[in-house]
Amino acid sequence: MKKIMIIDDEKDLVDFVKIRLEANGYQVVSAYDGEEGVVICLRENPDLVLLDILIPKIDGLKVCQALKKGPSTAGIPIIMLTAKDRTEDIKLAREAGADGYIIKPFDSATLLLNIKDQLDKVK
Amino acid sequence: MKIANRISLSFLTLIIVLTVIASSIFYLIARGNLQNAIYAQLEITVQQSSRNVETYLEMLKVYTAQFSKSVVLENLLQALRKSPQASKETFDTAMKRLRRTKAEAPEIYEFLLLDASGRVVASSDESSIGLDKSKDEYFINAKKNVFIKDAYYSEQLKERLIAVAAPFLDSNTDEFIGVLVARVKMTGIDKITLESAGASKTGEVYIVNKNGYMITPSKFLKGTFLKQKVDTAGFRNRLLDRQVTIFSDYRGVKVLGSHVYIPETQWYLLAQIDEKEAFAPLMKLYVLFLFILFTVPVFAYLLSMYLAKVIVGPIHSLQKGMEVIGGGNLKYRVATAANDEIGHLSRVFDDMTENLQKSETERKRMLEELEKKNRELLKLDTLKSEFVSVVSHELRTPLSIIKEGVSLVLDRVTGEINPTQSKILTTSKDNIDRLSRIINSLLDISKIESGKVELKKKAVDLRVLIKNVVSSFEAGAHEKGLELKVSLPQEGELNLYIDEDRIIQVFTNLIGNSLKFTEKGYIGISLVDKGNEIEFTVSDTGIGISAEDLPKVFRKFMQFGRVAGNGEKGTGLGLSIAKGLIELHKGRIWVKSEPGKGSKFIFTLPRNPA
Repeated sequence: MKKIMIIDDEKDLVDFVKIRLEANGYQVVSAYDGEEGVVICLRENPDLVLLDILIPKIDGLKVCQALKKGPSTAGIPIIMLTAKDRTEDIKLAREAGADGYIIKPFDSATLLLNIKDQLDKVK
Repeated sequence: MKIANRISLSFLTLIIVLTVIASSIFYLIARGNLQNAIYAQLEITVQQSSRNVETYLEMLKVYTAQFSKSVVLENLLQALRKSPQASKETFDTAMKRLRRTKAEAPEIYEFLLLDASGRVVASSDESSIGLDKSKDEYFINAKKNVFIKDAYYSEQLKERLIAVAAPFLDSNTDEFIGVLVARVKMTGIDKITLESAGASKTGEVYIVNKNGYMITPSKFLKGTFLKQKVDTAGFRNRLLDRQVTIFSDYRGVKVLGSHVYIPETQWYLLAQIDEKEAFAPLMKLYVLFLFILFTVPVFAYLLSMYLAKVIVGPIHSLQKGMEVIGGGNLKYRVATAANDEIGHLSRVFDDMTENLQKSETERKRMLEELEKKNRELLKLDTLKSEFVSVVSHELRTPLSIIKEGVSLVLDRVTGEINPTQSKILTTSKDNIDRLSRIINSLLDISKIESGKVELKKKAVDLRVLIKNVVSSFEAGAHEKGLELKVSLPQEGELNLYIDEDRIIQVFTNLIGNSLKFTEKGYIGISLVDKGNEIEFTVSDTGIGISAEDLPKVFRKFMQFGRVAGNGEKGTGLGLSIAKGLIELHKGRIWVKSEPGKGSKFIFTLPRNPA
């Protein structure tokens, strides 16, 4: 079973996404800020990370960079969740090393599809 | 050149020129006067001298003439006329007389008594007796009148002499019987000339005979008697023209001189003085003038410096003031006390600076205000941007959570649900979407109005775009029994550099409207390539728009007519958003409509990327 990590400060959203993903056969771990996110990521070693840009303590872009640099976490695909749809933010996400991005608000179908694609790539 | 230097130079030049001119004129006048004075003096000298000489000669003539009336001498001559030998007594008496007379006059060197044939029959010097003097001038010329023989040098006697000869005439018959010759030393005449010369160093008086030879001694040269030809061009010029007062003499030295002609002996008497000596007094004057010529310019220069300073000083103050103020220091004032034109100018300048300072202060104040306003505007703008993004995020996030939650249950993830629950949740989900659409519209118009829309342009194939949009409406159109007519040009490329999503949004809006307000007929989508732009038309056979409402169509929050059936009311922002988006692409949008006859919405998009 694949483990998916979600880092987002919106607790309600995290809860719903967790239910959705678990219903689709994934194991889910979560964190609500950047600092916590990095720590738990290192500990849990997930197969994929869903990362929101606007999170407290350490912002999403920095977390992305950090994870991509870390030897044990560099290989984990990261999908950025961004509420903004400006090309600038997408570019920043790309530059930070994100493997993909989804614009919020997203629908579950898009989410599941993106996750599947990224996990397939790793294989 | 600086003004000060120009003034100095002009002044200096003027002074020097004036000094030179004045000095020269002065000098020339002084010289002229001196020359005239000396010349006058020389004139007097020659006149006097020549008179003396003439008197002397006259005296000699008279003396000789008188002596030629001597009875004693006549006796001898008469006796010799009769016989070759006269009596001893007659002869001795004559001889004695001759000797005695000679002794009385020391200048007389010798007396000669000649008979009618020119033979010396008696003489104060015995050795001369018997000599033939018939060829001599004094014999030839003294037959009728007393004759003076020009000065000559007697080799025989080693003396400089002139001779005066008087004819002996028979006292009864006036017949020519002989000549009495008095040979006179030149010393008498010499004395006259020497006396006349005066006390000057180079001044001399001398006599030149008709052949041009000096016959009185020269002050400077020895042995000039009948040897020194006084025949210089200068001398000749002088003889020709009495106006020539300066000429070069027999030595070749320039002299100031005068002359007079003694007709009796055809002699020229000259009185001269070296030019140098004559004009010596002028030397002092000359030196004085040189001194003036050198000192006056110095004073002139100093004066001119002062003058220049007086003029240029205030100008410099003004200049300095201008530099300081020009450099930015508006507080500086020239503050001159001068009362002249430049002073006035300086004060006017200060006033001007005062005004400048005031307006500068004003300007700074206005600038500050402007900057403040600008900062406020920027803040406002930032606020707008923040509003858009914050609202965007804050509204969308809970909405998406709600939607996800509803979806989870609807998708049976949490377990089975009954049809009623399903319907309720479906309705809820639809309304969430509706709300989303409204929020999006509001945010869109907000962005468009505050200029926060970024167009993501790329080359888009219009055929593909339109096909996709139309296909998304096919279901809806079919449901209402309406036809979707697409009419595109068969050939030619239809590519535009546009924001695809936004143009789809425009089409969606227009076609959506048409669908809403058309009950029967068709909805037509077409385009025309107009070269530099493409014109799109979305037309319908719907209820149309009244003439009253037509101009208001693109306004915000405008809604028209009643929609039959259960249709969405919408926000009334669709057309204003569409207009905003088209205009962002630098295109135009307008509408043609008639109530009951349907509507035509037309918009253009330019070919060239703006």
